[in-house]
Amino acid sequence: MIFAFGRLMLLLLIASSVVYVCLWFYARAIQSEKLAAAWEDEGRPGSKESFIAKGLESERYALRRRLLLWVYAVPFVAVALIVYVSNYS
Amino acid sequence: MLSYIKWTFWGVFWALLLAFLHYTLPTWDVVRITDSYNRNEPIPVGSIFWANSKPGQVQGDTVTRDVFFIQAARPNTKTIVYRNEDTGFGWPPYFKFNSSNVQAQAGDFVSSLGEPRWVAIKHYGWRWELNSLFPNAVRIKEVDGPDARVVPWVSISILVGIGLVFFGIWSRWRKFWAERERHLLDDPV
Repeated sequence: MIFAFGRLMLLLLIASSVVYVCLWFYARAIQSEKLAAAWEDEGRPGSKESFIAKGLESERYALRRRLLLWVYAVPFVAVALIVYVSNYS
Repeated sequence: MLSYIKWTFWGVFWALLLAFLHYTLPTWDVVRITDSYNRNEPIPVGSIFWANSKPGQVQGDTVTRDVFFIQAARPNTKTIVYRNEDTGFGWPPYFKFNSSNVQAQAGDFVSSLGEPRWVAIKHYGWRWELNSLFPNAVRIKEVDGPDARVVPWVSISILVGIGLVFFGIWSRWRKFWAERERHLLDDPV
């Protein structure tokens, strides 16, 4: 049972990490697209690259927090919830 | 020729996917339980159709171990036999550890044709006589009568969830390629 539990945790961790990496790059691409549009709207202040780089840097930690919560926490909470519902209710 | 290969591939793909979902997702049967017992069942080594969470006695290429069974009759008097196994932390992810409790409940619900007590049994898996496969009973609850219908909300939400995820990925994928094509047409290399 411990072996099966460890295997499940390992597989969940691997799957979550794959999803995390995919979503990370996807979200970064969306953010930089939005920043490019914002740069146009603000009348092209300074260099486009540095505007985007600065914007991405300022959103890095918020995105990491959001992704960590949704990608890693949710599957483990779901497992705990299913264990409870299917055995104790 | 190539189109035959293509269609065969997609036909096999969809058949496997549907079979997988049909095997794994829970559905409810309305039945009358006629007996509940356990027996020493020979199980092929490495079979994916039995829970492997418990070790057993190995004899050649079969494992023998005690498995709970629940026998039941459908409202149309056809019979159905369920196994009642813990899935543990293995596949499918029902995380069922309470097979003993389920068996006790099944024993409690045993009834005769004269005085039937109708129950709904949530299960996954197939009854496949040729391979001695049995669906795994997950949960039992009493219902009003043989005509009761239990809506499989869990299966419906899982299917909708899978559909939404794939639709989301697919539409983004299509948008990505449309965008690329537009760029290439706008300024060809």
